[in-house]
Amino acid sequence: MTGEFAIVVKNLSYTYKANTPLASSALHDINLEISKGQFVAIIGQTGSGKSTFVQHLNGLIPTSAGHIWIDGEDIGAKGYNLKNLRHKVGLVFQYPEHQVFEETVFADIAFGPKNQGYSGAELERKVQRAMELVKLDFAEFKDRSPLELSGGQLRRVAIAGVLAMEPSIMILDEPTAGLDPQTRDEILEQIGRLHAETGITVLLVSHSMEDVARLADLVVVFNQGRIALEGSPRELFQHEAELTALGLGVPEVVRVMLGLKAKGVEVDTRVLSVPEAAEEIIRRWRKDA
Amino acid sequence: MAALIRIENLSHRYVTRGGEQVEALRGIDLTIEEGEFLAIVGHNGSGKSTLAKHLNALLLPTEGKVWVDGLDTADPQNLWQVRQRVGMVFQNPDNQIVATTVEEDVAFGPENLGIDPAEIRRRVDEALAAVGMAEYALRPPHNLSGGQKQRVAIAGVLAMRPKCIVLDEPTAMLDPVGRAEVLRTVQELNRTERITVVWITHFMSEAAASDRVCVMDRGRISLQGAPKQVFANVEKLKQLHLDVPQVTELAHVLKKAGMPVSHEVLDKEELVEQLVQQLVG
Repeated sequence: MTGEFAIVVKNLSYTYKANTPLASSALHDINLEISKGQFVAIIGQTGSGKSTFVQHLNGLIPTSAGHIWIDGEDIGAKGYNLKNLRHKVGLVFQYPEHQVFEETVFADIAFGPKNQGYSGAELERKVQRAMELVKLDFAEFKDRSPLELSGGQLRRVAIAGVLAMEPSIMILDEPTAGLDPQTRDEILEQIGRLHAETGITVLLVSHSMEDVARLADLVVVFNQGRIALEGSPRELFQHEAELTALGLGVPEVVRVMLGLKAKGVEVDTRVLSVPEAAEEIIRRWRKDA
Repeated sequence: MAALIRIENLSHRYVTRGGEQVEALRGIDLTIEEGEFLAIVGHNGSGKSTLAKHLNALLLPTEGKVWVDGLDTADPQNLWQVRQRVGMVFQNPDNQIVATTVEEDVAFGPENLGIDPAEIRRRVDEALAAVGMAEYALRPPHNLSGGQKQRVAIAGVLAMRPKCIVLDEPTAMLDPVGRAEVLRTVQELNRTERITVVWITHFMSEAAASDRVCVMDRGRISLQGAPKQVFANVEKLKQLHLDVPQVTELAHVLKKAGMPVSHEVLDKEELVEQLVQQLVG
């Protein structure tokens, strides 16, 4: 495998409780290539296999059938250093604030790099940099207790804790679950900026098509342990019927455009946002006038 | 319709651990009608949960009054009657489940009321049937999905035979399937049993299903009305950092650009219909 891909997955399958009467298939012959620096959204219903899939990528679930290459290296190969893998692939779990456990924000974010063997000024630099990336002011927050923080701030601390290990791939499992719209937008905006500023490869597990539309270059749809659909958001959202059948749906603006087209109005349905849809409808309206 | 809950000039203040005085509610006047489905939206810290907790005397007014079915919530003698009439369902389903089987969990409330066992049996069966969870009665709750857990929590409230259910962001931690499932269950109870519903949410698509939406901001009600009327205030809602349904926002932008469309529109079909008239010669 060449180095241009951050992640290559070939024929990956996984069975829960294999060799027991409770065995159930969780992943089925997954094949996927993710380029370095790509922003990939992984979507699917609960139980579709998306979380099982991402847990394979940093070795939390060992590869039992098939292969995964991270930065060109087969992570299932004998002698592969799993500890290095965990540093390379940062995983931010759902409700990551439940994993914030230290007495100060600094200590919590420093936990990962400390385990990597960093200390002193070097450690401080890493924590400071991670806090800058999630827009938490270092001087203001470093000595604060995580207990005093808001939900959105806590989530940023958790994300900073992963960033401080300077991973080349970051996986976020539903990072906006349970947040109010304002905090959700702030967190997503920060993830987008982080991606742009650092060139890190991002995998975002999400239920929200609206979030995905804004950020992802590539959307991978999981269903019953398989990849059901794959493509750029613009292309993918054209498959309204299939996505609806999978219980996912498409953004409302796309539904409006597809509805217009179905009624014989010639419009470009490949929109992602309200301004794009408005522009296309107005263009069409002025042409008529 | 008759008023079930009357709130008059309600203010609530508290002091944080850091000694800071917070005015969570500032002079709220609100009447909730019997059988109404009321949605309350607002960003974090706007006072929605504080308001909700006043509806069954979990919190008491610093100033003003709350009457539930004519009972003053501040009178300690009314406490159990108020709690029996208004049941609460919270955000995290895992924090609300107390028993080892679904039916025991639902029976927990009526048992505390000291109700006759045969009557409890009847209520539990009815409540589980009403939320579509009868077949799970003997299952351990921890194996259920988030949406199913919330339906069990709702059944637990129903078994108290309340007049009103207050749900404080009941879908915030659920996936889209679970969200739809819980909303449908509550809509059904509202329609068939005429149970009054107060539904607190961040999801405008859920607020759209209500009879009336109250938008809260800094402890006050800043907008209220039918969903269509409230959502039409696109700029105001954005200013309050709330989501606007994309269909309504699109109609608003088109109208501003001079297209003759109504911006009081929530439904995709309705907007498509209006646009087709403009765009097909």
